[in-house]
Amino acid sequence: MAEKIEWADFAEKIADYTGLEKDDIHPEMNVYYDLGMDSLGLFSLGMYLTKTYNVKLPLSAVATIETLENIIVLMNQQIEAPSAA
Amino acid sequence: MITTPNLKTVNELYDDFVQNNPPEKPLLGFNDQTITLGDLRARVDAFTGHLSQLGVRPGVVVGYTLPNCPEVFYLYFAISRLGGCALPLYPMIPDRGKVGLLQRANAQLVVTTSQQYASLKEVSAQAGAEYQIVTVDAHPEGGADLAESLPADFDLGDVVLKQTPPHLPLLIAASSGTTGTPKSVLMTQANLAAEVYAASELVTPFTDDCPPGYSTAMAFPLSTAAMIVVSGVMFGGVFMVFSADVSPVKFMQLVTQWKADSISVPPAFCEAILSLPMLDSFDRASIKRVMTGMDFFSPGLALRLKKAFPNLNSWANGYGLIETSDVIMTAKGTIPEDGVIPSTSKMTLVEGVGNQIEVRDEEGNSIPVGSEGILYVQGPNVLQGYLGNPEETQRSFVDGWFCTGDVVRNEGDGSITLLGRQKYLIKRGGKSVSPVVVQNHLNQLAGVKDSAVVGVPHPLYGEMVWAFVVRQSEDAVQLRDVMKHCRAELANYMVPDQVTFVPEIPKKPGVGKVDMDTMKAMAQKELDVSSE
Repeated sequence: MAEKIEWADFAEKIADYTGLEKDDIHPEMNVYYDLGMDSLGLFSLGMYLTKTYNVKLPLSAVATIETLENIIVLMNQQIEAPSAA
Repeated sequence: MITTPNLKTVNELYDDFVQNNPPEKPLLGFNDQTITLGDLRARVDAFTGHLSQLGVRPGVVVGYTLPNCPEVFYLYFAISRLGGCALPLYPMIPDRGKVGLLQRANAQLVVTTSQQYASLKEVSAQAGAEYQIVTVDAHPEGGADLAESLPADFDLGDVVLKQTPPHLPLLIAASSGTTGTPKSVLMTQANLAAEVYAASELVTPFTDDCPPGYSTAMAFPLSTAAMIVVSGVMFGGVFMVFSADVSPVKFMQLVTQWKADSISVPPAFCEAILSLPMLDSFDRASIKRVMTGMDFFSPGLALRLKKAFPNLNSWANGYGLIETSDVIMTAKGTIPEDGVIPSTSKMTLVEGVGNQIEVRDEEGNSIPVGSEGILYVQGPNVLQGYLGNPEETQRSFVDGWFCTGDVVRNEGDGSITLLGRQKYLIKRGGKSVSPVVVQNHLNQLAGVKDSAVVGVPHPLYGEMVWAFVVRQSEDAVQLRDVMKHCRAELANYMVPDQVTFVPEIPKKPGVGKVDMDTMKAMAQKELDVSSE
């Protein structure tokens, strides 16, 4: 089973994907307003994180996401109980 | 509804619309606010007065970058009435990109929000731009802005054009171009008036449960070229509801709140709605019709929408390119209970606008009904050419006919079946992305040796933007550098969805053309593995 994802590492990966500085990444950041993504950009980020962490993230769950915190919570839920989503 | 045929300018259409409809007619629903024709008229008048005081007159280019908000409508019509030329900028373009476009178009005035003001001003000053920046809401530095009241003695009759020449430029838009290289185009009052008639056909009621005045929830960004079609929708008598935020969840909240009769969304956005796990928690009973555009709308998607929206019974799709001032042909149909839809890609030229089509072979000769070829268009919707690009204008516009580059089957009687869109472009979520633009941008990044960008088919996106990057050395460039570089200047929909670092770009034997098929297959393999 994959290990729980820590915020510091997650923020690093988000910085990689968005091109932002790691220090500018915060859990409450809205993916639409703060990261300037459209709904498809969010799916692309979801695919990148799925591949990077080797965690299944159902695309249907990705559509409900608004903040970075939503993403990390969802991924850690998947790690703890992969069948939940 | 448009009551008078053959009006030649947007200004004539606007005057006709406000004179022949009651001021209490509801036009727009924004968040929870209803805007009537009377409200629109008052605000358009106020904007017209302010813009004239800011120097807008025939020939003046006014750039604007705004989120979805009613002010986009006020601004567009006010610019038009003064004879100015609008340059809409998609809000998600980074400021550096916006400033470049504004400078190239010689914009003299830029309209934005107080929120975006400081950063746009700073980047503009760095670039030595000389235009003035004003805001639609309270100006951060005080002084002139469009939200203030006009002086009581201000006479609009002194500033509004009394006669509008049909060939007066009204809008500048960027085009991806038929070869994948970006080009700017200029649309005239006559082009955009023709488009109002063509686009209104898209929303003309054709089922009993969507009568005149029905409502539609919009998920298109208004400040960009979508405005071209949207004004046709408004003059067509449809009540449009929209919000600043077009995330799929917020969109469904909007539908529920307004009990919208229809939805106006790109096909990719339909997929995003259908993927919502809480879709069942929204009341979807009001939706009877889906109106779409910018991409193929498959019968399969129509049927899946029917399952999610039980009362959905009809669809409409528009076809057009920026060079044809957008929609010139439409396809419409019902979604029967038995679930069989014959075709969604047979498009018919909108009648009464004066446009004509021809299907030609590669040598430019007309081909008979039933044969396949390239679609050409002529008429009032067709532009004169590309701005500052006579070579490409000569290549794509021949004797008034525009070569769309789209492969179609000639069905006769002004109808065609779309078989393939321009092969060089990536169609992501309904927006055209030029791989050449993204590629050129990637190649400017220090440490990048070479790159290639391909569209990879995906049910949600239509096509994903996938970049293959060759580095000068492994530690020369990382993913973060690539993304930072792209997000600094490209619009968000052009930023690669996925980046793959490769030792070299695959080339075909012979002259060494880039092997797109191999790269698409590599990307597809990676996509299949990640979705297993």
